[in-house]
Amino acid sequence: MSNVDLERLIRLTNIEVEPEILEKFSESVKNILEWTNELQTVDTTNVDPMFSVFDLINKGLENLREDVVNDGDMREKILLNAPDKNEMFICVPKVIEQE
Amino acid sequence: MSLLNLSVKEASDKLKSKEISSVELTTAYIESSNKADELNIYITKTFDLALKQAAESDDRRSKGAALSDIDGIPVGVKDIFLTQGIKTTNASHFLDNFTAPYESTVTQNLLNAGYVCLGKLNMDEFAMGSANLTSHFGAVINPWKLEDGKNRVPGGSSGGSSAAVAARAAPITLGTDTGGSIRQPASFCGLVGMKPTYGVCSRYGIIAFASSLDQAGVLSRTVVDNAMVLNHMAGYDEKDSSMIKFNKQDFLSKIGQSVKGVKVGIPKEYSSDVLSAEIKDYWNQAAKALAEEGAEIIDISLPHTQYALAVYYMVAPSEAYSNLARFDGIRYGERTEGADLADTYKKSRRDGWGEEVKRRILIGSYNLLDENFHKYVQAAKIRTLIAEDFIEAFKKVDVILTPTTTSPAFAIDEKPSNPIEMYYNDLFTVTANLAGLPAISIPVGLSQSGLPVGMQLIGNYFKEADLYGYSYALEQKMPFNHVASFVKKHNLN
Repeated sequence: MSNVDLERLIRLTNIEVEPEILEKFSESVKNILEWTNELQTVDTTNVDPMFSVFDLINKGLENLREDVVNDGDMREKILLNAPDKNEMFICVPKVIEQE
Repeated sequence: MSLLNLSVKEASDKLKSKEISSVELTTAYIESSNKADELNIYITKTFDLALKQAAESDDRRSKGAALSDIDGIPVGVKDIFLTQGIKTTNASHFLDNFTAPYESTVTQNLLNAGYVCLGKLNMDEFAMGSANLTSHFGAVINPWKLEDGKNRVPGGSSGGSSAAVAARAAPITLGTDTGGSIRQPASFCGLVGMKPTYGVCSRYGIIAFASSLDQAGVLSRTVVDNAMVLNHMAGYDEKDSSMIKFNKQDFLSKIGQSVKGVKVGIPKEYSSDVLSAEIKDYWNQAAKALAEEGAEIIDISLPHTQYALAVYYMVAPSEAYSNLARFDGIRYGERTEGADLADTYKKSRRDGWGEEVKRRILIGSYNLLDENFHKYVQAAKIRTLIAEDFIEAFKKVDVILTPTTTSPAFAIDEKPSNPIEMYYNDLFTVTANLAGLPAISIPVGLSQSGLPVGMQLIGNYFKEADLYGYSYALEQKMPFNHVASFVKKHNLN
């Protein structure tokens, strides 16, 4: 993989990946390429992709519930896990630059 | 007789006849759990809660108001299930201090049945691993030790769940299985491990790894114990829109039924080069055992098996890449402050996860690049072919028999250095996840070196009750009467 591609991947993953992990990753990409190249040899003419078990057994999704609010009212519980908070708000680093 | 020797079924009967109390049973497991600290099984022990729940169970029972056949039974829970008010870490530094704000449906169902929660069990970080070596809280040690004295892996990702039952730190535990994460550790620790049909157990409150593959299940000493607990976990839940409405069966209903005339398929593609000779021998023995009971053994072919691992490693990391996007260090989880918001995301995600999780996110990101997307779709098409192989096979047979793993548990210091080699642990198990089929691992004996060997039975969609019936028949013919060296050493039997 080229450095440009790696830069792009890092941007897409939003992880400041450590160099040693990146190096190992480049290694495994080689194996993945071997694998996926093998998959390209399989004849899949007229085969639909399967993204879920429903696709195959034609079930499910008819079970979606009515779109009504039935959850919530757990603000305090949720705020308990916020790493930085001020009263009932979660704090984040400043996102607006000063002129 | 030691309380720890009782199966869940036996304990349930003795609780019912008031021969024992839940407090006595729970206390026995708390004591044995404390002896098992060296195996690094627990991330969070909830023993005070367990004793309180046990006392409440005894109180209900004394009033003739027991909630179910598992009321008062202690259970260990993989730390991937959200348990309200209890720390839920997913074995990750990212969630070191995360307290679940709500309860997963599966554990809520068990609470409704009166179960006792012993604690949260160690696992591979974010369920990514096959040896329980990627946990932020350190490796779990297999309670099966040989004379060489080496520490062996308990399998993964539900490694704390398998080690707990094998070490008698819990009578039964919950796990999740995305590519084999219940069945492979069950096999490595001499246990029964069931992954039901996709859509049988709600995924609500289970931290997602690969949403189209993840499914909850049970690790137990016996087939009956396993079915007893799954009975209470399963069921439609509107909070998981990917569930499938089906007529819920009593999973115990086929226990003891004869396998006479049952057609057992032996797929030739599982006779892989990497399969060890002694496991192959057990495979033959298991087929013979079922044949002796009148089952018909039929050679079958699942021609696309050879592509399953490659498809899995296209699909699972891609789904993980998407699922793990929500971990940003803002609303929950560990945060590393950066120069600005974007930098905070990047640094939090760098520090929150270990190497294997980051590697899989990178792989997912790579698979989903514009120029690779056609390859992802090609993998999804081959997933259809893999599933259709099974659908064809189940026109001819009732159940499929394969080994669970290619070899017994390996030593921690003998782990493959190449991650791809490590993935071969899932060779025989990923197909059931890709197709969404139920599959169970049953211990059938020991290797020459003295480690447990498991066989896998794969059933048709929603045929869990039949699968338990066949498994019970196999269990009767090839009873596994061995206990881990740890149990002997500490006189836990």
